[in-house]
Amino acid sequence: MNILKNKFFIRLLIIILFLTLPWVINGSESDENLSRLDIETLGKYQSEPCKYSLFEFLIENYNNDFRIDLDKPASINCFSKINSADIINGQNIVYLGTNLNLDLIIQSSFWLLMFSFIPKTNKKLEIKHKEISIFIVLGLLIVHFISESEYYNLNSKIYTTDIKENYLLYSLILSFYLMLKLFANMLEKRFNNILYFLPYFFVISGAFNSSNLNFILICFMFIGATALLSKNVYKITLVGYLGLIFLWIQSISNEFLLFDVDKLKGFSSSAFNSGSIFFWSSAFFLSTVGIFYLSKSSLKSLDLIKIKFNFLLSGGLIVLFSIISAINPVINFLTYFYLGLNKTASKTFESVAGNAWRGISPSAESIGEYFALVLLITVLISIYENNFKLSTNEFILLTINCYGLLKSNNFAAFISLISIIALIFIVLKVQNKKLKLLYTFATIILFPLIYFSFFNTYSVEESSRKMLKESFSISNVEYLDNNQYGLNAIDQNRFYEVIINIESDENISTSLNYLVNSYHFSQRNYLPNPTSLISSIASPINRSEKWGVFFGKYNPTFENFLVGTGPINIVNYYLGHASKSNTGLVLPHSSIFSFLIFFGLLGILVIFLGILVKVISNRNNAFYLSLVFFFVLNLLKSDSLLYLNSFLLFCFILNSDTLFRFKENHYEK
Amino acid sequence: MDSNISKICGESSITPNFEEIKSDPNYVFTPDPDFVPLTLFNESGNAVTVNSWIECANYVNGGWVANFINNTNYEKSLFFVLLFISTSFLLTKFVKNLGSEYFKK
Repeated sequence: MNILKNKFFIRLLIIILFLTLPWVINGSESDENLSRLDIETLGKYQSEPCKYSLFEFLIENYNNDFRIDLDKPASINCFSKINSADIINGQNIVYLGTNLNLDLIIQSSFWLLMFSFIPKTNKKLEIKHKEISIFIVLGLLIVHFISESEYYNLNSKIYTTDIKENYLLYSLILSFYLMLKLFANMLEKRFNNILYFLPYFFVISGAFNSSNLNFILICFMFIGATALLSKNVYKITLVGYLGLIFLWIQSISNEFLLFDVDKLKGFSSSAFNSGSIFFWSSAFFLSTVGIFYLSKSSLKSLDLIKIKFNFLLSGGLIVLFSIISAINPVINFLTYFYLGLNKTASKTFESVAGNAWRGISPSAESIGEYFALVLLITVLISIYENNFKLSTNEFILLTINCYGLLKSNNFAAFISLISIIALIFIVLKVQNKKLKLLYTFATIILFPLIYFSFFNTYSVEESSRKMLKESFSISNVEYLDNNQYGLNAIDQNRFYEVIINIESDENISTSLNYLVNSYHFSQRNYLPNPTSLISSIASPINRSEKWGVFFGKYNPTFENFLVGTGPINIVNYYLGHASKSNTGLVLPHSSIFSFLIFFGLLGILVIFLGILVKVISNRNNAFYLSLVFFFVLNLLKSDSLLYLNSFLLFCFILNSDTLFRFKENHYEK
Repeated sequence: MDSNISKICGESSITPNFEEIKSDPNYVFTPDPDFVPLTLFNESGNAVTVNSWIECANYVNGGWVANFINNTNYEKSLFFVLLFISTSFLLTKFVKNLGSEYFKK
């Protein structure tokens, strides 16, 4: 009876029920048992779809070798049932039915339950305009469902945008209404504690299984909407931003109805039309306002020791879930579904392309950065608190995070971590001004120079050629003539000849055209020639190929180059210009390039200026500068800002200038 | 035998041998003039008309059902459940507000 009185245990019990019941209750009610899956029983699996539940399948196949693939468009009746099976290359595959609406209800209920574990604070936040905020988010979600109808047609057999008797769409909206209502009620007493749990967004990513939406994004949109309605500064910003949205919508020349978002699911548009631009621009604005508002409101009262432990624990949990997901296919499915992963976790311990293991994260690079950041935060807080002793738990977690960094094989994150730790020790511990200047200079200037000259085996001109050749290699330039040795103008480095070819107008991207021009009409061996500058940076950090592909595809008009095509939407970049790289998700491999697509050059400059102002105003806060520089350095070569958790963490870091002042204020008080 | 077969196709004294039918790709179902033709639907909404009990049993055994509306009914039921919960939420709040205003007076 005492246990039942304990809310924690009741919630734990409900979690266990959530994890098991959906896959057990919808059984066959048949006396006939399902056979173990093999070549002889395959026919039975294929001829009896939607009959046996996952649980019934597991009873017969608990020691069998199989893989679970999802049949996302299944009906409610076929949810959690085995809908067919295959044996491909000796691998048993079972298709498990999931449903758009039930996924949404089960996953959001589970995550709301997890949210309820965040401790309440004594101070209750009075959320003004709660209902209006909910309706703003719901209105945007309706726009989303209508504008990305092709995506939902693939994920539901009965999906339609016809409003008449459309029970599915009505149910989806009602499900979101209930979700937001419950979230709003829970938020009031937990608002000031949410930031402690920000690291866990890397464990629970919150992407819905069959929708192109993310639970965490919707929650931050709601927080953003409440902030927008109560703070004038956000309202003024919105007026300017609405002008930008108008520009982005006006600049649409070709609409694209379906783009495979793959591992960006829940934080990337699957269509390029006015509705999708409006939704994702608004979602970006509201969620950014939400995280900024949350950071500004509750950052000052954060306890550094608690946040350090949560970072360490989240890193530990990521490694733990990654390992158990690779061991068992059922756990792999459960972690995918309940952690809201953008794509299923790695099914083996083998590294991708022989070098990096991503585990439960969609990107090895992004999770490597996170592990390095956890280590950096641990070191910074230890220095700040002047306490380098770690408890046994902290030590174990730190070791696990080091293992995670090692497996992700993110060399850039490791190098930047070491450099920044060295730098902060110099700044804080070296007393002699001359020595301090010398060491700082050595770390900031000499260290990268040595690195670049050591790793960059190409000359400036060779680097430029290499990147341009990569760009041409994905362009449709089959019309070029070959000489008697089978070489064309590109092979012979006569790039300008290619772009003045009349057929190149449509086949060569505008950005590649510009790079070739600037390369051709400059003193090639001297910097700063934009092409040589970019390729000299790209070459030593192993980005020549990826950035080459980016320039081969990036084909903006002058207007798009200045203001972009709208945030969280890479569809026009991807499909707007025909190239050899229009299938499979090849990302720009630089968050700066991603934001260039989103906001254009002017947007990049505004963001850069904003960061610069923050950095200058906090020039004496070495802890803050360390975190910002670490993040910015890594964003140069990674796509991290295309993932919601990394984006929210970046916004948090930008606003963390008061984090390390808490102690001073605390003692002053 | 699957209980759905008797529910959808009716009772019959025939003992179907599905393995034999499945293993013969040229198997032809003979229409039964006494059997009232039935339309069955699969998961994708495809329809087939069956003209004998054995043909019906074979399709039902393969997961086909008598009424495709079945799926939509589930969606409809779910919608009404969600509508009921949402309305309860709104009504509870309305009654609470009404109560607090009354007691203020």
